[in-house]
Amino acid sequence: MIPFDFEYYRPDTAEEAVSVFAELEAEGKEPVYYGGGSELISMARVGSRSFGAVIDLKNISECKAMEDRGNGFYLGAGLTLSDLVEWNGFPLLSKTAGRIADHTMQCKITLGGNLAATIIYRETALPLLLSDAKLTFAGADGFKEYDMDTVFRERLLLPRGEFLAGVMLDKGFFSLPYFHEKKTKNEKIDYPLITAEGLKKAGVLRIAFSGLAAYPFRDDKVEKTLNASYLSPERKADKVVKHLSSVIQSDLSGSAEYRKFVLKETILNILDTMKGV
Amino acid sequence: MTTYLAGNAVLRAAEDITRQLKSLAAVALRCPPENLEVADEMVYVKSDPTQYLKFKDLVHGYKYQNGNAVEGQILGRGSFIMSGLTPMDQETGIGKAGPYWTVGAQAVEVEFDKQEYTYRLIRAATVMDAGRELNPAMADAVVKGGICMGLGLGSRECFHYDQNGRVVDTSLRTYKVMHFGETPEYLVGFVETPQLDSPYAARGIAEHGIIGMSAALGNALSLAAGVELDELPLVPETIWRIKTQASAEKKE
Repeated sequence: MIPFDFEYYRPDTAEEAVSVFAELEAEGKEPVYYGGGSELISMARVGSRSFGAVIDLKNISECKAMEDRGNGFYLGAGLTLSDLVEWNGFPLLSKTAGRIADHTMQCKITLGGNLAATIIYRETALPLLLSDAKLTFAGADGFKEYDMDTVFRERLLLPRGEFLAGVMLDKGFFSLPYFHEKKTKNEKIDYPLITAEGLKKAGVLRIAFSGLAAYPFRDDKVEKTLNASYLSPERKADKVVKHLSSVIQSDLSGSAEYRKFVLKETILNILDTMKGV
Repeated sequence: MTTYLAGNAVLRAAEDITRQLKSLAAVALRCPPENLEVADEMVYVKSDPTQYLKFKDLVHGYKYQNGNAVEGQILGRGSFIMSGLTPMDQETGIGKAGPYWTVGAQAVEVEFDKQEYTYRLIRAATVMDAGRELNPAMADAVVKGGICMGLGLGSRECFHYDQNGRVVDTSLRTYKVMHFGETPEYLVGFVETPQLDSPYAARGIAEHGIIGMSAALGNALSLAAGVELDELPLVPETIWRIKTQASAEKKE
């Protein structure tokens, strides 16, 4: 159970949400925005997070929307992972969402919650990094759109008082050839040892990782190496492992040494699957 | 043990009740106790079953027609102690530490990926000799449950400890147990060598399915990986580490 009292607010609009946050902040009530609440509840129960008020974003229309807007496809940050799985408009995103936790949790975890999470995996960031997505933040000055790679560096860089309203996807990426490999310690449903996913755009491979380092990322040098036609697959894999050595982590899922082994095998599989595509 | 110990005690208590029933009924029916049979909640004269008394008219004592009552509530008493046990000699290990041995054999079939060191459980078999199987469906089920637990211990269960022996897992979520869908096809069979001093020749069966499973899994994976695996749990990283070290040592 959560061992402290807190207030609950459910605003109907983004303006209401931002303004009630500011009020509560000024009153010293330590407000937090939330989506599904799974991480918030877990952390509050073990005493690693406390708050005086929660602001439930799920009723705001910009957070619930799922629609083609002509210049892109918009996904509200309040959509659950299972909503994304069922939609399947961008198969790589749906595949990613469908391999996070289990089905029960996927019905609760939201896109925004997963991106803004404290826990290090944030796997939904991967397809967004790979497809040049744009993120819409809601703040005191209304809605603003940003390129994914400027506001997501290891984690979502949200200014205090603002929240993620939604994601705009470039439909041109939806039908590109893609790959998704999730390796775990042993179970199908578990935190990633390594999630390596990516796509091929105009013959150029893009790749992003979660679980490998203590944050999700794409890396230019890794992509250049994988796309260098003069290198053998074995050589490519070795170079990538060497380049990432300093950030590869050890944790309860596996040691850094083992991750290096798994990374090499995974890259060889990917290069084999995606060659000639 | 419950079958053997408590079962024998219960049988003796039941015999005690039978004796008391016959003894009281003998008085009421005016015949020697050895002429009586106990069946169907009745005590009756073997040579003339029309002479009988129901349990309900005996178990709280017997009341004559004129109202006199004799004896009282029948309480059966039985106990059992294992015989022939001796401590084990410190030097030689010779001694009888328990009343019997229950033997069995277990095997596991796995599909091993030599490239990635991952594996899948295909089939797991257990044959037990626990005397007579009194309830075959239950015996089958309890052995299957044991197989599942044993494979869980062998393949995924563990806590992680630091240098000072403290548990570093922060939640039970990292303690993995077998899940539905990860289990093998179960093959269970029984051989029956009767236990002559046990109720109905049964030796009782409970956790037996667990005992050899980790070893069987270890042996299967050792054969598959071509290296001796002697650490649990047998997760891919462990197999990779032992195999890699062994290959490195070979080269030196």
